Parts: sequence; structure tokens; C-alpha cells
Amino acid sequence: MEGRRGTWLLLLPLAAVLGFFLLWPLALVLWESLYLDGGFSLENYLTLFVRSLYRESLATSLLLSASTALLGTAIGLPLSYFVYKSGGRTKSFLLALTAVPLTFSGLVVGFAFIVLLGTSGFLTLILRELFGINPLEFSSFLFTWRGLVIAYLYFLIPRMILTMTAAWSNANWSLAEAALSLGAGPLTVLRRVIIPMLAPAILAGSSLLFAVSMGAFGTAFALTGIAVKILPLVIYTHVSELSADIAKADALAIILTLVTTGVIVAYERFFTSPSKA
Amino acid sequence: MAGVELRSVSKRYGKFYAVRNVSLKVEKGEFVSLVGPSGCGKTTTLRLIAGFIAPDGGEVLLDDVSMASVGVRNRQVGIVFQNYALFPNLTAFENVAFGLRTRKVPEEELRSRVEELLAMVGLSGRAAAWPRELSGGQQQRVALARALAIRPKVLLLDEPLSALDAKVRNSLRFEIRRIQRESGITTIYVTHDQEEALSISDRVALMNSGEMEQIGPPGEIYLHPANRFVADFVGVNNLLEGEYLGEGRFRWREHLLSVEDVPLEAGPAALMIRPERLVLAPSEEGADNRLTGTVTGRVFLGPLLRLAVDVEGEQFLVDLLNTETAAPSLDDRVSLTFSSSDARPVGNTGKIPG
Repeated sequence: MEGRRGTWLLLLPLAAVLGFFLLWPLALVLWESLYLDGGFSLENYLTLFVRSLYRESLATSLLLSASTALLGTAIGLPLSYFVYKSGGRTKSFLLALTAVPLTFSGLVVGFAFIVLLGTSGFLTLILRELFGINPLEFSSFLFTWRGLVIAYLYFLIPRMILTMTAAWSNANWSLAEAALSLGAGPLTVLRRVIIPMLAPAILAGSSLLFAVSMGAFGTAFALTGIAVKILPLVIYTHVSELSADIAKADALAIILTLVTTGVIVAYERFFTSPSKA
Repeated sequence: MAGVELRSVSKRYGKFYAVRNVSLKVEKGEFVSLVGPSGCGKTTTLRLIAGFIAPDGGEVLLDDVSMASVGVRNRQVGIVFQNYALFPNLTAFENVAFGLRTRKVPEEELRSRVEELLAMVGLSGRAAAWPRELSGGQQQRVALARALAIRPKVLLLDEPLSALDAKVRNSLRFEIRRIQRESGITTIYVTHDQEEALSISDRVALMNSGEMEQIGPPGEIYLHPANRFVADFVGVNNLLEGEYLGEGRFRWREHLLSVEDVPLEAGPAALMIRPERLVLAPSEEGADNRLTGTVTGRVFLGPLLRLAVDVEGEQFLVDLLNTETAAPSLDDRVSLTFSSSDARPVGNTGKIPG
């Protein structure tokens, strides 16, 4: 009994932080999204599914996040193997370098891409000199959701590399050696041993990328203002502009929270359920 | 015909020799243990035989054929790892079947072979179990069956029991030996546990700092260690620093002892006397090989009673059968004697190859 009370005491700071900074605000948002003209109503949510702006923004957000998660995983995975294999000091150096983009604010990343690939961007101008491309046409993609994919990858690929480098280090290489000794070729080893072994980490990494791009705001705001309709930007317009509609913003925020949490929970379920290793 | 042969094999990492000039010949069907402290090169030697790494010098032969240009995949070696290394996404059955599937063995033949192997390791009923549903001992049995499935030329075991608890370790040890005898497969067993090595091997190869110190049957290693390292590593020993005078005479401090006559150059050496070969002498008669001291410790070891006896500041361990009624108590004065054939002088160097 004494020990249990001790545990609760130790959990108190964490519980306080979670309560004040996560649960309480979330409850407020939920309350506001449901409370309408002195009564409870689902109207805020229903309009979200009726008005095309909201449906589109949800679809674009999902598309953007799925694309970045997929590309980030595909690019980050081989790079993480390279980092892992480099070993020793090189590995520590590369890991430190990889972590740098994660410390930048989203706005900084957005402006960096404008300076690099914008209409009068560094790379754009070089390409114009070399290949005579039209800067306006070339850089217009940057301010669409496809441009956001490129910009997001800048801070998502490092996340994938960090997640996967840990996974490679914890990997049980005896499994690959056992398979080799049993006559398996490199492709069989990859397909039947390495990929199944890393699958949990790959899925954990990609669902993290998905959740981060669902919620990312700064980069998208810096690049496109509010031109691209994605959930975080639509929420922003609803709390900042003349047409402010806090209740709708609240409802959107709840939807966004549900989607990102849903992805993470689905991942957890899938890999901690007793029927699956 | 030799099942496994190493000819002056070396493996370097930078300037460090993990394995230096090691030669070893294992007969077909023989069970040989590679034993030594951690970092002695035993696992590297195993990996050289398996083909995971290539030697920088020398040659590895399996069934008298050089493996210089043969990779792991085609060597047909069965390997059992310390951490079991079962494929977690495959059942026990599919783990054992893995090597047969890569060899495209027909389904029916595969099925009966896997069942036969699971029966051999005593896991007939667990074919459908996932590795994580099996105990450590059971997992290692599956790993053994999986390694044997491909009818390997040689079975390589890398500390297969060190992750298991003592009881399972002891029973599985003898089961590995039984299965090895039944299948008649050439086996190399890596362990740091000298007792384990002595108890199951036909021959023991003792390694230290990348080199072979001694290769021989367990009894030979135990009773006739080639040098101080072997004497110290194998079993519990009393090692007295002194001088070998030649012709079976050894000087320890003021005592002139009569010892085994070994082909060792006269000079500084250590004298090895096993604790079970020291005898408590009834009285202070002036015989040969008599040392007098005080009992400073008593440890109960089940069938044995181990005494620590202080002789002129040097601690001697003496093992008595626990059936002895009049075992001395702490602080008793006792006399120790031993026959000359039980005291073996050992030098710092000198190796006995197999």
C-alpha cells in the first residue's frame, strides 16, 4: 500500500502537466464545439460534413499527410540504414546533423523554401540560367499542396531517420545470419526476415510522420498563407479573420485530434494485440 | 576424414588478432568444444567456420573441401545462436521448415521431416506455437531442430545455453549431446563454461588471446594442463609459484616437493594441485609432500566440503567428501599431503595441439 501511494505521488507532476495543458484545454474546446446558443448541439460537426470547404480541407490534409508519410518513409528508410552502418563517430555526427532540422520553426522552413525554390529563389534562378525554365511556372507548384509535400519532407525525413536508426541498432542480426545459413538468398532474407523484423518500427515511424504532417502549421502558413485548404490553415482562418467562427474552429480541432490520435491508436492496437507479434 | 579442419587460420581487426594461427582438426561425427574466457577468439573461430567472416590467413575445410570460395549460404552448416534467433513471425513448424523451403523440398517430405525433428527435440505438440509462446529452453530446441533440418555437414553452437537458467541448462546440455550422438553429426560447441565443455565433449579446445592453448579429451585437459593458463582456467586449482628443478622435484619456499616428472625446463613454474587430491594427514609424521597450516574457512558444497587452509600465508583449497565424520573445524591445525603424481608443474608457455 505504501509503495502504491508512493507511485501515485511520483505520477502527480506528470498528471498535473497532462491535466492542465492537454486534457483541460481539450475539454474546453470540446465543450465550445458542442455548446450552441444555450444548448448542446452537433450542428457544428454536421456543417463540417456538409460544406465542401471542410470536406475538401480534410481530404487535402489526408492526402498531404499520406503522401509525406509514404515518401518520408521511402526516403528515410535507406538513409537511416546508411547512418546506422556508418558507425562510431560518423554515426553520432550524422545523427546530430539529422536532428538539426527538427529544431527549426515551421515558419523558418517555409521561408527557406521560398528563398530556395520561390519565383526568385536561388535554385529557380540557377535552373533558369541553365535550362531556360520559366521561374513563375516552375515555382508555382511550391505554393500548392504538392509543394507542401516537398517542404514537409525536409523535417519529416529526419524524424524517420532517427526512429529507424534506433530500430536498426536494436535489430537482431542473428535472424539474418540464421536465414543465410539455412540457404536463403539476399532477397528472401530481406522479404522474410528483415522487413518483418522492422515492420513495427517502419509503421511507428510512418504513423508519426502522418500525425506530424496532419498538424503542421507554420510551414504551410509561410508558404501558402491560407491558399491551400488544409485543416490547420482552415482552423487558423476561423480564429483570426473577420469571419471568425470559434465554434467551427473548435469542431475542426476535435476532428484533427481524432484523426491523428486514431492513427497512433490504430498502430498501437495492431502491434500490441496478442494475436500479432 | 575430417569434418572440419582449420589450417593456420588467422583473423585480424586492424592490428588486433582475434584469431591467430589456429589449427584444428575435427573428425567426422566428433563433438569438440571451443572454450575460453570472453574475447579469446572462440566465437570468431566459429564464425570463420560458418563463413560469416573470411580468414586473413589460412584455410577452412569442411569434409576435406576448402571453403575459401564458398559463402555461408552454400556451406550447409547448421548454426544455433545464443539468443535462439527464431523467426518471430513464423511458427515453430515454419521455423524448422525454413531451410527445407529454401531448398525447395517437396511439401510432403518437408512435413514428415519437420515432424520427425520436432519429435526428436521433444516438441511434437508445439508445432503451431509462435516463438514468443515458448520458453527459452523450448525455443532453443526449435533452433536446434531448425539447424539440423538441412542435414548440415557440421553443427555449430554458439553459447547455446548461456541465456537459460541453471536447471534447464543442465538437462538441455545432455539432450544436445544425445541428439548429436543419434544423428552422428560433426559438432563444434562454443562456451565460456569449462565445466559444460568438459562434461559433454569428445575433445576440448582451449583458447586464449586468439590462440589455441591445448586440444585434448576432457580428462587430459583436466589432469594434464599444458600450461598455467589451462591449469588456472579448468576447474578449481591450487597454483603454487615456485621453481621446477627437473626430474620431478619442485621447490616451493623452503619445501622440496616431489612432483610429477614432466618435460618442462627447470626454472620458475607453478605447481598445480587439485583440491580433491589434497589429503588431510593424520599426524605430523615427517613424510614427503607434507604442508602444515590452519583451517580458515569451511564451505558446504553438497557432496563436498571445501576447506580453506592457510599454509605460511598461502591459501590452499581442500575438497573432502562430506561423508567424512571428523572434518576439522575452523582454526584447527592440519597437515596436508599429496602424492607426487597429483602435483603437476606448469610453465607459462607451452601449448599442446590436438
